[in-house]
Amino acid sequence: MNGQRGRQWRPLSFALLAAALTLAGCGGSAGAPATTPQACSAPPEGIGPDAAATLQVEDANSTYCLNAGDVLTVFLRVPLEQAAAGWQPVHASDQSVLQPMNAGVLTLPRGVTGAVYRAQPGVAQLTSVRAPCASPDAGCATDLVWRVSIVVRASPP
Amino acid sequence: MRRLRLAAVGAIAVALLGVSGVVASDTGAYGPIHGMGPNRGSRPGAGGGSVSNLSYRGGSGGIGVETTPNVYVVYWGSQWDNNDPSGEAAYLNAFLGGLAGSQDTWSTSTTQYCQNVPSGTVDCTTAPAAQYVTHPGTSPVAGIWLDNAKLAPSRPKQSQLASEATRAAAHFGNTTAASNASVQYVIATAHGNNASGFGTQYCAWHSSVNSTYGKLAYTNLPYITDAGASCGQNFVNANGLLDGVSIVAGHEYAETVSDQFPSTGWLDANGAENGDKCAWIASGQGASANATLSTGTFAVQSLWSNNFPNSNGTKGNCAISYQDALNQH
Repeated sequence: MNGQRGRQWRPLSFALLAAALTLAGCGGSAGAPATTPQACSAPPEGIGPDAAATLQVEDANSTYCLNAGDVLTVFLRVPLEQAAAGWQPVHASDQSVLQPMNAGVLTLPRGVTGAVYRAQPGVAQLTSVRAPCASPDAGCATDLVWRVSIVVRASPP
Repeated sequence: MRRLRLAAVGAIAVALLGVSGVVASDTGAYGPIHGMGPNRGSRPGAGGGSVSNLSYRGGSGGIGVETTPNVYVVYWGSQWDNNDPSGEAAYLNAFLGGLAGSQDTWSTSTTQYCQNVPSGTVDCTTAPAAQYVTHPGTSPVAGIWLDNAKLAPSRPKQSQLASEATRAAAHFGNTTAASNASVQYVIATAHGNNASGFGTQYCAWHSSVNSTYGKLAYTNLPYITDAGASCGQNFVNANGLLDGVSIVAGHEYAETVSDQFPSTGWLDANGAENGDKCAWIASGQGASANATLSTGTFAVQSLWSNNFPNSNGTKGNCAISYQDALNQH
């Protein structure tokens, strides 16, 4: 009896959990256009070749809107004296939404970790960590984990 | 003939620079090499120390590399007049001018890269039709222009930098796609006159623009010493005020030679070019060091060499000096 109820309930719980995570901007990602409009704010002005938007350390823990085709640059900087323990390479949760581009056209300053993405419709997260944090989900101090959510719209609103 | 004409133009431009107060500095006197902790976080797209080799991305209009590298340097804006406190212009001219002949064993690792080969090629020797990067026998600097007729924008945007590259193409008479196929324009902005983000987000970058003169490769080269240590000051030499100028300018030069129109030339799986994979290494294999060229001694970073023979039998590493596939370190 209990087992039967459990089997009926589990799919629903997973669906609710997935929806909650997506709405909270903490979910994995979606390669297809989002079906539910998600609150997001305009990102800071772009820096670097062709960039429509740029995110930096201080932009963490927010959700930003991009339009399909936009180029997003990310620059995560630590003080020069901490350069040996800088931000790890930025990870996109869904590379079909945030497609990595050649960041190599930029010579980055010492202590800066950079990444460049071209946006396609959908929702994805960007994360990076600093030592000694091992992963974004390791329960580290907020200043050791950098995380943003990106909502990419198919066309300008 | 063309080279002679351009050399004459360059000589005139150099003279103008002197008149305008952009004066020569001592490019040869440096202290001993000193080490600093490696900063692997500064390698964009390198995937945390990935050793994946570069592969060819197919080129653009048949062009993927510079088969005969030519550099035009543009000192953009009247802000350069009597305003070169670090002596960057003379140092940059000398550095780029020295990337030729037998004394240059730094930029030579680019000669293993090629175009006219299938996408995905890692080793050009496997492709009989490969068109290789050649090492200049004489200075690759084909012209220098002090464009000081008016002020450059105080914070030039990418579109303005691209327009200046197009103006430079016209100025130097490179008005066809063919004449720009193996050319790069270095747009140097003056002290305090750099594009937004310089020094905190980037030190320099290269790109390309479609113009009426064909596709043009250009570099946004800010006044590097404005960024201090973040962009390489003292990175190799204890009194290396100008270290970052040659490190960063060399990085962009070598990347443009091997990836003329980004990103259609030679990149690794993470999108890193031959300069990125070896940026800001302070010790160990590929550590930045001084290179003695025919025009002086300059701090340089190493460049990624696909055919570098590693002790474990694999190939690919950062090389600071390259004579051929079997003689590099």
